[in-house]
Amino acid sequence: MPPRIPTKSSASSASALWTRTIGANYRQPKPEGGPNYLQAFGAGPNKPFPLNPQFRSERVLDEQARELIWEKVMRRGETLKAVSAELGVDLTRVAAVVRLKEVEKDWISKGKKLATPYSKAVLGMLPTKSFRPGVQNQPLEPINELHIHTATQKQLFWPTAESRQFTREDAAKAFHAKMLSADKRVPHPELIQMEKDLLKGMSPDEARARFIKAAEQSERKAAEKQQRKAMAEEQATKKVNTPRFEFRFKEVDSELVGKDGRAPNVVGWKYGMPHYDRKKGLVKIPTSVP
Amino acid sequence: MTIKIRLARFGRRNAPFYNIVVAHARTARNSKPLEVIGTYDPIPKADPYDDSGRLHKDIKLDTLRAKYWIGVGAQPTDTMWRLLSMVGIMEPKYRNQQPRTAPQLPADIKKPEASSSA
Amino acid sequence: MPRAAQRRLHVLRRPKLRQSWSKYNLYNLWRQRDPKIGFTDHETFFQQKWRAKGLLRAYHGEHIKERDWERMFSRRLLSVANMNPQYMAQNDGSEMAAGRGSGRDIVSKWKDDRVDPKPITPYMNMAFAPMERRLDIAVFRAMFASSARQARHFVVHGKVKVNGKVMHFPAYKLNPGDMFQVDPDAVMFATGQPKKKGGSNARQAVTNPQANAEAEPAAEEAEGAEAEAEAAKAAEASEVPEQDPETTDKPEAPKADMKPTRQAIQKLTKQAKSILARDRDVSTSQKQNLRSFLKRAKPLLSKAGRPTATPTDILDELNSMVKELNLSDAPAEAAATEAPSTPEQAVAAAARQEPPRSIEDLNADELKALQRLIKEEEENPADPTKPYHTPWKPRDYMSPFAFIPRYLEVNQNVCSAVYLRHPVARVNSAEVPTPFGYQVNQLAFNWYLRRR
Repeated sequence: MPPRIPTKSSASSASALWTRTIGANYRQPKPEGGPNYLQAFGAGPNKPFPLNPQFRSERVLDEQARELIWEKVMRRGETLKAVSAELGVDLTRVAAVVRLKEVEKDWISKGKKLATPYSKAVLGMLPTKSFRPGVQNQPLEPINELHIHTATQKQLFWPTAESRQFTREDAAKAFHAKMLSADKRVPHPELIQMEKDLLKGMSPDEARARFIKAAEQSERKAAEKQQRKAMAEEQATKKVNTPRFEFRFKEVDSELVGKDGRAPNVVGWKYGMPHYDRKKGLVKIPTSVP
Repeated sequence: MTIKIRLARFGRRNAPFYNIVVAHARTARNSKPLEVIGTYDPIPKADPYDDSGRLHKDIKLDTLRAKYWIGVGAQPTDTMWRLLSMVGIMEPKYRNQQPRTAPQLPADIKKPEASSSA
Repeated sequence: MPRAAQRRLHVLRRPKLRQSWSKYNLYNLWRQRDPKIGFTDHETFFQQKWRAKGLLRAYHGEHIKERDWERMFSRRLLSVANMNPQYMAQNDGSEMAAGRGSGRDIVSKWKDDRVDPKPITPYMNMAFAPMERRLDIAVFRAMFASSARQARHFVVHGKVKVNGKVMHFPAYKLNPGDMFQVDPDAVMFATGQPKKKGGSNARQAVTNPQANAEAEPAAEEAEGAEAEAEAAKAAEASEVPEQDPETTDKPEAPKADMKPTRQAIQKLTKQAKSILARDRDVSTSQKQNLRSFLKRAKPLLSKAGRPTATPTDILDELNSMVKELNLSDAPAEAAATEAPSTPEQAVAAAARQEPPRSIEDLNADELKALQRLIKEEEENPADPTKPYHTPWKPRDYMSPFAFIPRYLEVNQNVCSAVYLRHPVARVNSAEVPTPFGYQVNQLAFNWYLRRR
């Protein structure tokens, strides 16, 4: 009996044909650089999924832009908020870029090998954004985005007098008694103040100087708050050194036990209550890394 | 009946954790105490990102209540005495702080090192 | 991944889209048509939801158990609104309520022929947003692994650190501000060309005829030292005929022998000078060629240095090498770029051992270009100990999958990324990378609401 010759299925031969013809365009990155997404069914530019026009591949910062941000923050000592507002990069992104750049510098100083060829190849495939120092640059992304709070997602019927100015402040109060107005919840409240100053007729230079000062102040305030918290913790702890271990005594109040002695923050393990830490469905892996 | 300041073991197997409790001396270890005044985590831990190898143990304690109970005659166990003496609530129990040395041998017996080397 | 498993994952007959950079997945993505769920009356609502959920779950964390995903699922969909500071400074919000019913309303255009639809905020595309918090998925999204399964493998095998500590749980949910680092070797392995067993790049040779000239990585390491020494000798040898015209005491024979070769090389360098001026557009594959040419040029140069070598032999060999470069599928113009610049580079390679003449030959621009090439060689060396093809090149079919979502900030140099925040929806866009539009996502979202 002759050996059975394996035949390719029509599906796999169609796939092989595609690989040789249309697929060949996607095998290598474009020689001139830039994104090389599927061009099917009139999908727009920078849309990696042809059937999902709502997902776009956004630009990423290139090497030079990252270096510029690091330079501004670490060398020239500009505040994160000022750099964010100047370059149009999200506040958290500015902080992350600096953090990652610090890791990179650390690697270089330690003589660890960077993944440079990988980096070059990947940045060559992505849409990138570069900044020119000393000029007005186009922003990378909207920087003053307001998180949509769950309390603001419901519709309210809130009768007010027609003569009354119902402001954002009032709207926040209507949603929740403790909610701050949108002007205070956005990442850059100082920018709004700067625009107000400009409307009042202040010169742009002066308004900008005031903005930078306000940004510095807010950052200093945040740092001080953090410091105070650490100090308070330090003061509430008594450290006793022994040759083997350090014993840390933290002062607690054992009388905050609630009405029935079962308040959730009672000190120690509780009596007469099951401890659900091994129950099915509970998260048993770490939830955070300090 | 005497009142004790003692530890009650909670936690899991191989993961001890203690409540510092005030209880009558004859009651069971984990029975409901008069009062819980703190916790003691006996497992030594390192600070995050500290590579020096130095470990610490965490204790939570309501010192005011501890002082009160001592004042009305509660007796700490040895372990609790040690912990309370660290925060200055109790006087440390006497212990010979000198390093231990071997007792002097009579002069006519040869030293073991000398015999082994011979 | 074993081939059978890969075939199972990337089925061709009834295709499913996966979180993977496989070429089969690309093909499936390319030929996927709109599933048109709910366009006809044939399906019940339950059936529509069932099908939509099947389509999407095949992509989003197909390696995660359904029960685990159900626990992860959240009906809370995050979004942001862009607040223009200028507008906020001009208005305090009362303008939104001012004059309602007294003539200041926006006039509706009901009578117009065509009413443009308002841009939507595709909340429904956020149905699988909780999945993006998982460590393994985030590693895949940051382009540190070629599939979500591979990313999971890296995590489990301790290749991934979160905030500097090894985290071996792929299900770890990243918190905003967490930094994760992946071992660069693992990343280069995942994203680079595979290495064939036995050291030969057989597959590459088939796809890339110009790479044929490349020596086997294992062999070239052994050759390296020898070639270096020979190159040095060659530099000395080439120096001798060079100086001949000035010092007539030297014997005539070697000068006559080497002259045609020298002419050829000079001619090539002259061409190189003209082309190096517009050197910007040398592509990766061309550099690849340069390297392979360089490797072969080294022994040739040393041969030229020997007194026994005949110039015709060397010229023949040089010609054949240049011809080989011309045979490559690169356009003739590109080949012309490579051919002349390589002998020049070969001379420069020898020049590392202090050649007095060849460095002087180069002008400032050429020196700069040369330094750049040498630096590139140092950054991306051929190293047979690595588990991937060296010098490193991106794997095939990588570019159509290359995107980095906004909620991550990645530094490719140190293979690290920061999870900035949870993905959000905005007007007209959603940050969760999902292969289907909001209609399909909406049905899947409804499935997991568990009202069925």
